[in-house]
Amino acid sequence: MNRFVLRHGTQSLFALLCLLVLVFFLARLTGDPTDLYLPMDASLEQRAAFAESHGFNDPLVVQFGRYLAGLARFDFGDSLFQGRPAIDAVLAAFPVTLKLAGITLALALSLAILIGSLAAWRPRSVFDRIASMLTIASASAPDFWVAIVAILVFAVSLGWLPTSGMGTAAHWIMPVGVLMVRPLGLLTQIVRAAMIGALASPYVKTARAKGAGKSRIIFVHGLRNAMLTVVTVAGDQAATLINGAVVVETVFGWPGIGNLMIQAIQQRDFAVLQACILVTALAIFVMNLLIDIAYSRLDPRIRNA
Amino acid sequence: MPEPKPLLEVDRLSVDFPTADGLFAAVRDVSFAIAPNESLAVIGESGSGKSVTASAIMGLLDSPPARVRGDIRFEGRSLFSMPGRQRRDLYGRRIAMVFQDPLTHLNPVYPVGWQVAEVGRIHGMARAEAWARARELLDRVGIPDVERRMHDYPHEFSGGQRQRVMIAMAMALSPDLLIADEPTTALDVTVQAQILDLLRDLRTESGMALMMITHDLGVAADIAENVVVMQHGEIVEAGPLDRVFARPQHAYTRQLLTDRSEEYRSLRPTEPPAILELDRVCVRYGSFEAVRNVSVTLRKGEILGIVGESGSGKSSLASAILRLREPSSGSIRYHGRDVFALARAEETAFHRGVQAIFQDPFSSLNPRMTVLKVISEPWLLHPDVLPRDRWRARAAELLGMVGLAASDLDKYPGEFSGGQRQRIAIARALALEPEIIVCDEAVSALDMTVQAQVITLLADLRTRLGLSYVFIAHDLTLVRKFADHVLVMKSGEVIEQGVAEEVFAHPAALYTRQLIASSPVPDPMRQAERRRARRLNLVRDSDRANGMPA
Repeated sequence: MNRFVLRHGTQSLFALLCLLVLVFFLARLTGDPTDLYLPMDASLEQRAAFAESHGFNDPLVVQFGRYLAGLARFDFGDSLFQGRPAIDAVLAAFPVTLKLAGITLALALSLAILIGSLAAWRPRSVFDRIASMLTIASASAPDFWVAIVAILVFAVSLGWLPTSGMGTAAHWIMPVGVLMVRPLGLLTQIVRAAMIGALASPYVKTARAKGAGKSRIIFVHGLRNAMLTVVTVAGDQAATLINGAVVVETVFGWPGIGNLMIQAIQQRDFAVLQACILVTALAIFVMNLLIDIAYSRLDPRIRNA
Repeated sequence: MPEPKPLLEVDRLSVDFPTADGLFAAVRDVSFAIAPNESLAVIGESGSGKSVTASAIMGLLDSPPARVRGDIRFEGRSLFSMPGRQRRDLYGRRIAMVFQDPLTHLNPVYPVGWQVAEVGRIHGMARAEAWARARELLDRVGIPDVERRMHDYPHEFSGGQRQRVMIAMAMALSPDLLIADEPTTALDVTVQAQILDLLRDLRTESGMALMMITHDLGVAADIAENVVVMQHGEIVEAGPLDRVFARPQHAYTRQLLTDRSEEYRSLRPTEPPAILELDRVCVRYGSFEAVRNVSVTLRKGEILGIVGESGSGKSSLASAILRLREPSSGSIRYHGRDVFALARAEETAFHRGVQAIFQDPFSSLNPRMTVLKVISEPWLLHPDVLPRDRWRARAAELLGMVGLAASDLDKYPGEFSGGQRQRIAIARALALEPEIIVCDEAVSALDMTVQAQVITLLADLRTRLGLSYVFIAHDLTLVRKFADHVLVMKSGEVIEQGVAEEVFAHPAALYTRQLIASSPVPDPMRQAERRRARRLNLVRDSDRANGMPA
């Protein structure tokens, strides 16, 4: 297990470095922060002083080197806009996103297992057909569109739910609901397919020959095997949710990391942007590790390999 | 003697499956009965309806789509009109089943002990009691070190051990009827013999009835008292096994029982030139030595049989011959030239001259290529063999040679049966007019009569085209009938080699004798005799292993 973590760690470290290079240089293509932070009529001297104090005058490579040196001391640089360490801003926003993604995934997974299993028990039944149609639609619905429609219907027309912000439980309903649409559709499809496969497999025949009843066949024999596939896809979805919340967070004014990232880009707040990406990438790495561990727990054939 | 009251009665059972071309009658009007303590063999090829009948008894047919008519009664009570709960109560407790492929029929994610105990749990046994029973049974069926092994998973066991686990599972609640569907087909002959012995012993101990479904007449002769012969979903013959095997009434039964050994022995060339020479060939995978010091010569027009259990190195040797894996030491010479030191042109010639047919005709043909494409693909790779405008005509000719029609050229592999696909694979191998064909278990997956047809075809092609074969099989009977020379392998080493008839008639090595004794013959008297001999042999063998004087 330790060797496994180590190998994955080294691989991921390299990927992270590539990502850092990419983000660092691409971010600087968005423009010069000086233009944004100083008044239009600022003098050349003022501009020079601003650039000088933030180190924007040095060649990019030097800036990058300074950044890396900072990272080594866990110094992620300061936010230009907020005037505080970038990492503080990110660590304030990240748990909010994590909570949103966690709740969404848990709900989507539970519903997907329920609907997918029922659909798989009698493939091509009326329930299966309706479920398949709806899940295909939801798996392919663009979330920004769903979000806007949801706001129009539930917040503007009906006035049931708040349009944005977070505070009460009611604030959670729409973001979670909208964020859930695609993973729910996808996961239901996956559960259904995996369950159909599992229920048609020879060991289910053996279970029937042992005299096992329907619920035992579905949950003990079918689902336990189907979960092998489902966990892999669910992990993938979790990673997508952690950074895919950008659209939903922006639309609903959710103070999470997605929102922060967009703001950082708009404000040319490079340090915050880099910290956001670093933290997200780290989270995805940890997520993948957890999935791999869960998978090897679930499948004895991998555990011993 | 009064007829005992039957335990199970199958009464005019018919099963139809709807297909694209209308209803397919899998079982037609089948009736038979099994008395308590009786051992009945149901013989027939795949597609003869024997497994569907078993599935109907076990309630494993999904209906719809299957349409089931007739009745099946257990102790006089109809299984079809019984409430589901009562029927489920019978399965696992009174009627149990052992399936053909133990790996796929065991749930991969639960320990074997759990799976054996589950039967007791389903039928209301307390947890501790069910586990204790599982431990006892696994020990009884011969799983070593049960206390530890019962927590292991199916993939950690060998094929034979998995089948033992399946049997333990079936025996969990001492059923009155055990249905065994080809329980030894996926196993080596020696393991098969052990499993058959185990089934026989368990039957003697518990007095259960046994319904043994098999395509292997030898297995039937080994274990059954009565026999039912099925063909195309119908029973063509039934009766006491001794009578049916001695005096078969129906033409199909007679065909099954015909010994084909004479047909295969066509003209044998005398002292032809050597075309393939193996000299102390070793094959290693990392530190594991799969093949050790094999030396053998294949002459023109000769058939070299390689027999041994799985893991004996047969297939590793074949991949070395096919140049798929370089030997770690030793040499392989084709027409006197080392095949791993060929110039480019010679390499092409080697690939033309040495072709292969593999075991699984289902996965070795690309399903998205028409038969014409499959056969002409080698010509694409060797453009000098045949101009493109003659491909179709030549492919049709080759199909004719293997007993298929020119109209089959535009069909896809999926439209053919296993035997037909293997014919297509042979036609493809013949496309480059090879000298040697390596057949790696090429007929093992086929039914017996289909097997016989393919073998006859191979023998015929040998005579007509002067081909040589390296024929790898675990089925001794087959090699005995077909091969000129034979190589017996065990754990990578050659145990014995020589002229096939002599090796089989007077085996020198103990292992060869065991292999021969383990391979069942379709004759109840001889089979009983061989069983005794085999057991004696095993005793002697274990004595020797324990250091006792023989």
